[in-house]
Amino acid sequence: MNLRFPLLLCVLTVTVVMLPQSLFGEEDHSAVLGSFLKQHCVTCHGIKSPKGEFRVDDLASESFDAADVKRWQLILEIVDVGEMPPPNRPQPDTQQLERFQAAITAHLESINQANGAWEAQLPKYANRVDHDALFSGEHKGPAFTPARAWRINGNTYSQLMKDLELGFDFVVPLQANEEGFKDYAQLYADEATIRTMMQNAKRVADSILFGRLHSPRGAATRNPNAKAGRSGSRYREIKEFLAIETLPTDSQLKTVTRFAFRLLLNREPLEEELNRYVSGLLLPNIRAAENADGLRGLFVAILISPEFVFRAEIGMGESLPDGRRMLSPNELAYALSFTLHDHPMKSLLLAANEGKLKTRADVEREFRALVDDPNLYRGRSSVAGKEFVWQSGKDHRFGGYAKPRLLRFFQEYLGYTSAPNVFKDDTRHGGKHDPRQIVADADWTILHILAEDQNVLGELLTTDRFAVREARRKKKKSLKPGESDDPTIQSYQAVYNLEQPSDLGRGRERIAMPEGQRVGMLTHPAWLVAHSTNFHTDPVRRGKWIMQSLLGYPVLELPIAVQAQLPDWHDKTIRERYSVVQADECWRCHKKMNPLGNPFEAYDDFGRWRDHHLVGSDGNIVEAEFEQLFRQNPEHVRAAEPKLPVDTTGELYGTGDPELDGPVTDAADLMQRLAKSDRVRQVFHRHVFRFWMGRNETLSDSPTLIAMDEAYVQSGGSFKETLVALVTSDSFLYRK
Amino acid sequence: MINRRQLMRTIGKHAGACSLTPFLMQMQSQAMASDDESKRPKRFVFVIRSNGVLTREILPEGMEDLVKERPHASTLKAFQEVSLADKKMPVGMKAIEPFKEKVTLIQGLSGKMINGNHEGGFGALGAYNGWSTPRDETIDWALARHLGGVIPHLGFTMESFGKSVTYPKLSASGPRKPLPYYADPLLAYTDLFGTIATGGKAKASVEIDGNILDFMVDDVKRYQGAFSSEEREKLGYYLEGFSTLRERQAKLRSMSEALRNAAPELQDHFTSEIETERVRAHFDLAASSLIAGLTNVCTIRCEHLGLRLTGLGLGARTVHHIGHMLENKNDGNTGGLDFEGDAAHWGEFKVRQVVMDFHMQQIARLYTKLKEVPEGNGSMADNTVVVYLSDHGDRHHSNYDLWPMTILGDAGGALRTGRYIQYPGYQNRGNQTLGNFYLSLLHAAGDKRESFGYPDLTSPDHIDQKTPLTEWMA
Repeated sequence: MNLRFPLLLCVLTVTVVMLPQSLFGEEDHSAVLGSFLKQHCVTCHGIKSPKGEFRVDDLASESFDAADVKRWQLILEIVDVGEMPPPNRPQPDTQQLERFQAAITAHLESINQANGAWEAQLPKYANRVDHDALFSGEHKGPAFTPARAWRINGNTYSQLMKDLELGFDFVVPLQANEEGFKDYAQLYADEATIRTMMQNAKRVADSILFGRLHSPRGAATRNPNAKAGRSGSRYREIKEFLAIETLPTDSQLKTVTRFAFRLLLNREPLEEELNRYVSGLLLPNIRAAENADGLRGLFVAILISPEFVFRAEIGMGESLPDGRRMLSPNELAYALSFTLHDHPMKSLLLAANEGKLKTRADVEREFRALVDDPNLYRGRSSVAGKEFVWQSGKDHRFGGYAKPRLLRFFQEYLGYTSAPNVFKDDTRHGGKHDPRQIVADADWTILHILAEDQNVLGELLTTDRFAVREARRKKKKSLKPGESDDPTIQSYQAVYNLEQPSDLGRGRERIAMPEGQRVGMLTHPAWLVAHSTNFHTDPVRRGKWIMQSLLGYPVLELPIAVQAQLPDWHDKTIRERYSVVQADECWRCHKKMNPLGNPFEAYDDFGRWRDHHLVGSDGNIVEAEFEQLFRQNPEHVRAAEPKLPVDTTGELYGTGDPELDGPVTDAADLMQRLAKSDRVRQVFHRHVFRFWMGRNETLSDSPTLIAMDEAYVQSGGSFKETLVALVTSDSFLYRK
Repeated sequence: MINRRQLMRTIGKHAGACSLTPFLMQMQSQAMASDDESKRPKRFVFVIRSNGVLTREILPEGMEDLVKERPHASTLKAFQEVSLADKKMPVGMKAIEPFKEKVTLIQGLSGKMINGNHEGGFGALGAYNGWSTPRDETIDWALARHLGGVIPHLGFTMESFGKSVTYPKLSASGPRKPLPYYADPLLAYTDLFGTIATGGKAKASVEIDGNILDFMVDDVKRYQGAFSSEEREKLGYYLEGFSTLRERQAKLRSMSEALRNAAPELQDHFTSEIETERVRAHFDLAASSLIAGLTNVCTIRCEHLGLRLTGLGLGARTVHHIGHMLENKNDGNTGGLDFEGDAAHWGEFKVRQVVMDFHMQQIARLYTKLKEVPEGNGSMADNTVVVYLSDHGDRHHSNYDLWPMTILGDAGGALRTGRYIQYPGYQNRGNQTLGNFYLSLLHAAGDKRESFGYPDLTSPDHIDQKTPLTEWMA
């Protein structure tokens, strides 16, 4: 174990002496390593023309040389994802493989170079759990989640800060996962987090104590001591406390502390806590300054306290004989609230208090009520009344939906919200590239699919109806109905190749795309742009996404030795330029990605459908290095014609279904086949599990995943039923 | 548990001979080390701009023919070295002309191990491919870690008004550990120099903060007790955060005299709504922090692609727009790239010159302040190195094969200065990488490690990426 916390170890007076790994079985380890390498690796990776120019015969197995660390890490990685030994060679059995990996890990640990437990919990490693084993039905659990402290996420924090009247110009200092789902329970808070949270907390405390600052601009807003322009506290308890001019009595101190707990933590303090906060914090603060300053310090402390920053799921409910403990009613109220919302739901906290949140049946009842709650349907017009309706009228990108976590799952799963981060020049677009609009369209398309709640995954993968923002008319009178004089809207709608973008009706409804051009969210401009580069399409990232998120295969991280660079062949398409990866050492991985991503060449890097590449009068492909070409030869570009037909063929592999695997003709063919795959559906449910459980699945979660999958299939593809199966599962309810 | 006040008392009693307080020893050693030149603390300031630094922007006057405008790296063939003694500094660098015997201009460095998008991200200072996620420590942290200091690394960044602390993708203390930057000069002032406050209210506020931190250390430990070792380890980051803050506050209090002497004067530019004014404040803070002995390494990011440089009279153009002026030849500068007539239609080179001139003025101000503080036989400036570079190589859309560098200072004589050095370009024999460059800084600081960053594996084998720039090292 990598000792990351020397300080922590000092203060906690850890009594367990950690013996260096090397005292145990070093001989064993080196023997394991030596014999495995000899048996499975050296034949190809020996001194004589080693494959991929990667040698292992000169690796010392007794102890690791620092210079060899990178090689050992790569071996561990490549064996872990099942890339080596290659399929046409004798395979080690599971036990042999595990011993080999354990031996490498032990050696790496001994020199502090191993990935710790923390890394292993990252979502990017989740696919390493054997898919077939997960759904075989052989693993019966018992399912549970380790007791944990789930750090608050950026959305919840923002919501709480806004609820407490902080305003909008604050920094959210909470880092999210870089790859995969952003909010995982293993995330931590550190010094930088605390520093910024403390600044925010001081401003929140001022709002609570003295009222919100009126002047929204100017230096005064950032001075934590500024009281000018404040309207006074809106809380009676605070006003009463601030009116005290002498040293407050014990009971006054306790009353205001109780109030602070209720306001910020939604609970009464325990007697012991109350005494500690009063005598250890509030009273000393008041003695150091004034009553108001002391109280401000109390609020600041609670706003950075562990209970505010982390959500404990210890399992304070009933224990089972096997050691698992159910979440307590209070823990359940929080856990259920955060399945759909960014803040704790009063109704659930009340249910917990009234003893209505104890059993699995209680959980199902309350969750269904939460999902179906018509009071949360603040949607309007066209789809109001259906389930999963959203709240309109607010900017949805900032969490204005009534059930924000639902849409967020799809945003993070599909990854299309990063489209605005891929900078593209309007000069190449011909009009205005408006990635925020197309992301909004993707959001609304998904919300429609959720509102219908039938065959949800199938619709996601194959729908040819997208929501498109209506054409707005600025000068209503001078235009005919349906005409738009807003060039921004017109040019963004052109992305969909809609001949009559004005026929969109009033609301943002799903409308049919031109025939044969769009098949599911992977052909949505938002997804295509998000998975493209500044100037080009990106078949590799697209193929990688399908491989990881639909087919559920682990991906080898880009080996350090690889420099991902495409040759500057101006007269070749991206697909042709990628032919360089067919070299042996590249193709081993790229053969799994490029054939899956190539069918999307039917769209340019703005996500516009095409059947030909534009070729300039000098014979160069316009999309390739457009910028340079345009600068040097604008006339060649202007005279470009759609000459070269787009090659959209590809190949599907790994669904485990011989009917589906094989060459595909285009994106429609690929997506239709993926939508039929059992494996793809199961992998989708693995992702649902990760997002809502905030952790990677393990084999003991197998019963939960199977139950989710069955609930979905039996309900005709209801996403709601999948979620019900999840929240009533042992994985959700039990801790250990 | 010893609470903070008790701790302060302990420090008060034993200051000077106390083995419990390593930071005091460090401060003391800083104060006493003045006799031994080699042990004197080195200081590094990284000044980062956007849009690339053009190769021509670092060419001394009269040497414009040496490198083609926006050259292909391969056209830089032979090694060149020219003394600056009889040259005039490039047109954007007039502000540092008085210090030109301490200036080095380095052309021809490659950095192909880096990849990014308008910014090299953490890679620019880390010499690795890490646009969005830090793969390893960056050079500023590597130096900071080696040089120590109450706050080893201080980052300041230009940001939109109202932001307090941000994490620009620039500096990192290790894999997936980005470093925070102050975006708000007033907040930075309060954090760094707030302990010198003598007024009742401000003093009480500092004391209350101390109480809160003390209380939280205790609270987190109680909370930790409910969990298994793995969760406890995770919560350890959080606990460590409180402990570090508490220790830092104690350290700041103990050095209040140094802080009081060095603190910048709080003026309007600290709270100005004009971005470039706040950048000026950041330079003030950096200079004061170095002089007070708070830190030995600062990174100042003085541009941000999304913001405007209205304070420099550049109108409504964003920084990003400036980078695109070359691509969009007819976009607002009908007079061509060199057009210097009507300010509204300045060409890109003129606009860039205004920007660079502003940056150089700030560097000159900082350097001058350090020159005024005696140290050993000279001044603090003698032991300081200011590195001016872009996080995106030599242009707005760079392919990372050229990274023009401007360096002011010789790190106490460890570097040879007063010269323009041009290395052969990427792939040519004799080319040097950013890794070599950063390694030189480390060696100059006394950290004699063998390599820095990740090697550029596309460079031919004859390029040795494990040596410092021998032509630059003294």
